[in-house]
Amino acid sequence: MIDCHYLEPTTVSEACALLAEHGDGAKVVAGGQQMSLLLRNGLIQPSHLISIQHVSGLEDIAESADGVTIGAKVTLNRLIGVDNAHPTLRALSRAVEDVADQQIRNFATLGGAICEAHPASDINVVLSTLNASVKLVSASGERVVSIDDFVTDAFATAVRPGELLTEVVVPSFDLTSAAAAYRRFVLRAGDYSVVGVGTFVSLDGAGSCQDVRIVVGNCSGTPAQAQEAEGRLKGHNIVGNNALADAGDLAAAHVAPSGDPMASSEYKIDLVNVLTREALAEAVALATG
Amino acid sequence: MNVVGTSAKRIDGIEKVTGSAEFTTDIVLPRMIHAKVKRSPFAHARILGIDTSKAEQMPGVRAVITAADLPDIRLGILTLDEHLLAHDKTRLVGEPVAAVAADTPEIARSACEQIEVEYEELPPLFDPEEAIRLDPPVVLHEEYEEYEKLLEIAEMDERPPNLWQAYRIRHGDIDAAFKQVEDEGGHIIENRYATGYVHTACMEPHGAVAQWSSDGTLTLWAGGQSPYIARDGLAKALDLSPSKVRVIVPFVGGAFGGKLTVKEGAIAAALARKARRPVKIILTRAEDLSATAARTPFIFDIKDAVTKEGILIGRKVTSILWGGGYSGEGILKPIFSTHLYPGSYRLAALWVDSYGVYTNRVSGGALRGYGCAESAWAVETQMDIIARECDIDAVELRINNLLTEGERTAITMPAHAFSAHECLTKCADAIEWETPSESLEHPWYRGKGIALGNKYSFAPTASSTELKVHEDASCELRTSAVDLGQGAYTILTQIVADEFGIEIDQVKLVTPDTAITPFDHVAGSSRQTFHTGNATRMACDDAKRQIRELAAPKLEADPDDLDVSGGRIFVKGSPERSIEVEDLFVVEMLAGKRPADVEVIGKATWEVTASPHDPNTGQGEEPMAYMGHGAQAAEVEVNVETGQVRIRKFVSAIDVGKAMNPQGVEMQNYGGGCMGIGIALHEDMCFDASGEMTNASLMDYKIPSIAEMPLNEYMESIIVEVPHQHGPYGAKGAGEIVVVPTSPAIGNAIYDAIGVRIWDQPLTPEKVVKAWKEKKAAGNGSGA
Amino acid sequence: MKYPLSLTVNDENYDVLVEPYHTLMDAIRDGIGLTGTKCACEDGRCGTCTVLIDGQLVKSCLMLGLQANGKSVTTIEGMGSPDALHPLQAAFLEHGAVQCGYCTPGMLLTAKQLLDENPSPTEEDVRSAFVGNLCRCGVYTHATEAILSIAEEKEDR
Repeated sequence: MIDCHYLEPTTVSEACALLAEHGDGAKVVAGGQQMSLLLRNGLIQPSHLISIQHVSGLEDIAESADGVTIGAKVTLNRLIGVDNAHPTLRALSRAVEDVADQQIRNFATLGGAICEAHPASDINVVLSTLNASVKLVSASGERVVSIDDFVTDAFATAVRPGELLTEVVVPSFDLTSAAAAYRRFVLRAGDYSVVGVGTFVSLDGAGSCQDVRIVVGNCSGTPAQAQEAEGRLKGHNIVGNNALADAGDLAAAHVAPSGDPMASSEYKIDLVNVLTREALAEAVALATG
Repeated sequence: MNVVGTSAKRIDGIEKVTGSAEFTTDIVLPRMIHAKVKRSPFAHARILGIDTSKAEQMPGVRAVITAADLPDIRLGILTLDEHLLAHDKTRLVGEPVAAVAADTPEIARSACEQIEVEYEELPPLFDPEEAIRLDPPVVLHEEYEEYEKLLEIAEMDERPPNLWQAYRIRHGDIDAAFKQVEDEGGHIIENRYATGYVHTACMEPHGAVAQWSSDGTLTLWAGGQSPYIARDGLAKALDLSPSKVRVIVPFVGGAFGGKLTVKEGAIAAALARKARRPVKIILTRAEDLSATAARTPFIFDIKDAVTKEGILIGRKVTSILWGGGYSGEGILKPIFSTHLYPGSYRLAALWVDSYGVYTNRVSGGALRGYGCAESAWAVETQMDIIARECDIDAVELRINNLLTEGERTAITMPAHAFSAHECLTKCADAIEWETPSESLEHPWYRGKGIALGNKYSFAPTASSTELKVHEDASCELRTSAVDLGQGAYTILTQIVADEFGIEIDQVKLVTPDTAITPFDHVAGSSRQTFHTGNATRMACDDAKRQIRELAAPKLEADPDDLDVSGGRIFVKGSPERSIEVEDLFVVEMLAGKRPADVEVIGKATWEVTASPHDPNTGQGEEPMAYMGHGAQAAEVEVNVETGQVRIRKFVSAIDVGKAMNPQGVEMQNYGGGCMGIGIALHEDMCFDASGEMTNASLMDYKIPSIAEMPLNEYMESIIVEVPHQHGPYGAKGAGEIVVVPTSPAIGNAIYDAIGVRIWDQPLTPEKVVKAWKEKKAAGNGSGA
Repeated sequence: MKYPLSLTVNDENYDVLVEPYHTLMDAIRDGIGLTGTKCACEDGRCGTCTVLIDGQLVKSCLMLGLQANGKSVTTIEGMGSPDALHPLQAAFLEHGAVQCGYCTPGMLLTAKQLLDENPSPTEEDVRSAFVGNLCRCGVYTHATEAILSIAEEKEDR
């Protein structure tokens, strides 16, 4: 068995220096909610664990005109109800309520949840729906990457050796005419979603769709945008007609999920249809509300 | 009677709520090391060679074993077809091939990875209908004919080479029954049903701790269902005399049929002998789910002959139990599952061919309801279909077909303490059967379903107990009956307290330890209250007889005129003429008190014999110890778009003869209902094309969470008490009947809600959606 | 390599050595020897190993031991003793919420945290709180009853 070292930096720069020093053998531990099992069960054997538990400055939620910035160490439970103060985060906050269970949400961090890049991640689907991006810091500088570019495949991200995800930025939008929603289906409470769909719609006063984003989760390695369904809605009046049902059909027609033991491809496609329609209906209701 | 029949709190409860209850997983011994098992990655392969040298050289590794370290003995329940470690072939993914004991579990795991096994892959066989052919593509056990077998199977012209069980029932004139129905224009109803792959998934994984003494005695701590089955299995596997094996049962974190044998304990024992250190083995959850016995599927083809009036007069069943690589604990299932074909109904003619076959999947085992829970799925769905076909209410149809007290079923089981009618009607009342479910807004639909169940308790069987009376009049019950969570210890304690007229806390229970506690068959087949309960009562009687005889000279009375209660012995009718139990003891210098004469230790054995049934006709004398009845009903809400099924309301009405502990019965009703809901809707072991289980975790194998249960106000437990002539206080068991009717009740409710049948368990959302779409496509989907 | 880990468990201080890959559950069970905290699933789903850390519920298999360094942990052994049961322990027994007992410690700590935070939960609150605690014996109905009975008692006062 490989000898494993446990390091506890206290600043972002210190953490980045350690990550740079130890390269591929280093793994970041935040809440530990995923890493601890991989380690205990011998599924990963890193030479160095870099715990960011004592790194300060990663637990703030701040709002500016551009959007809401969420520190990577903000726990999932802290996000529940956070939409009272930051309405932009409504869909994220509601989605998080059903992620795993309270024990896990107590310690799982937003940054950790993003980096896990689980194909059934509700959080990454919602963040993609909201056009969010993440800030990656390294010893040599920092860069901002959209969630869509960050999550590259199932359990794979664009994070480079030496980089630490420090914050998430959710851009603001006009809350009086736009809204986002998320719908998921689980086989048992607390489990990963079989399928999740996030929707964002922006309407003008006449019910015409100015902007729309539909993102489907767990039908491929990464959150996937349903462009055909979006095309059916954008620029069209979508209130009081068949538009949302059509969008559901189109979203379903253009996903090709692989089946898994819990759900066949065909069933996932059925769910994409239903959930797209429902998530759109919720977003439209909120946007026109 | 003042303790039996009360909801006494469980006597092992304080330890369980304070965390001091010691389970097998908690045991730590000095110098103890840890075992891991090297398992086959192939469903079917020949072992050409095993190289353990790298593993043996790893620091911290203390012992490595393969089949070469073990006696060449085949093991099994009734057909001895399985080596402890794979001998020449592996017949399922996960079959143990070698094992390592090392200083830490991590080192043992790494060492297993270093063991090199050379395999020659053989084509696997998974399909039971292929397996049962006379010319199957693959034969799993080429040497089957040479195996030792303790049970005769039905005669066949030629045995399909993968067949390990065949049983027939030939009762009445089946052809005449079908002809009568054809002639009079009745109904012939024929359907195929299947049950799913279900695992006990006990919260405590399988495990054991083994330690050898210098005199060659093995002590094994293992949370199993029967210390004596475990002891004899260990002795056989290691070629020891049973007297050289001591099995101690600590607290058990659930069993449900999955902990009948202790194969991993035998592996730990072999390692401990080689390492000369105590060895602990705890299976990982993935091993527990994928490589220990499961409730493997049945396929049932049922054809019923029903008169125009809705009377079932003939039934023809062909069933195949989808066995695994070895016959295992599932060996009797093709026989015992037939109990439900007549079930509680009168059947003039019954024709059954029931088989069990080998395939390269996980071996079949027991799970709460051994065979009956499976055949109930087919039979009770069939009854619902018959009712609809005949346009008769489903409760009424069942009642019209019920046996009456004193009749015998088509498999010659006497209908005694026959409570099916009462269970059914009380259950129907509770679910408000006469009132149709409310309509909901699309895509949600509500419906109600009901099903009747029946569970035998097997025979022949026996339970022995000993009861020692102490000088403070407290009683010590020695039993090998195991409390798996079902409350056996509490009920047995209640019996002793009742018989001696003492408080519950004056009864001490000596828990199973084959060095101390006498034989008890098994904590299974709903048998502990009935059999161990009887033995306990008898041991109390024996102890009281001894006390009366010891007290008679002191009270100058005939022993028969004395009674014992509340720590006193008194003359019947003259309670003032009495002495205390303590008076039977004298003070001994330096030793406190000793019995004045002999120690009072009551002993008893309760035995139920049964005549073996003819495997060619299924006929004989009384085949089982007793049968218990129960009915369950569910109201479901179905979403036809997502397929989600919510159990809105659930009622379980079971007959326990006498509720020894009413709260305990309620716990079975609710807990069994919970497991039954899981089995009906969610639980499904999945396998890939190589035969490996693909959802071997509690994340993916979906036992119910609290959210899948109805709200408390919609859970109803009904206790029916129709005393059994041989039950202690009239009691019958409750542990299994509570999962027998659940699946068909739910399936029937889904039909009531949306008009579709799903024939194979579990009734997953995906299957619901598929069935609904098919119905719509067939053009009759205008509404539910 | 092993690292020193300092924990306060049930108000007692412990210093043990752990590997970085050892979880808090391993530290509690094997390092300190408090075995009331159980291990059942090894994938973080079942909640059997639930403990409180600085007043927050955690599945102790999902946190590395070293992450808990210097923190205060409450396990089932710290909830009550046979002579002085916590009201929830008594309620679980009274209402039949204990069968095999293996999931019981985790269930009780979840229940304790629920009532500490919300003395009068609704049934829906109880159901949400218990999503992360699986029980194969199916004590859910009785556990809910037990928890709500305590909430009611408090309301009666």
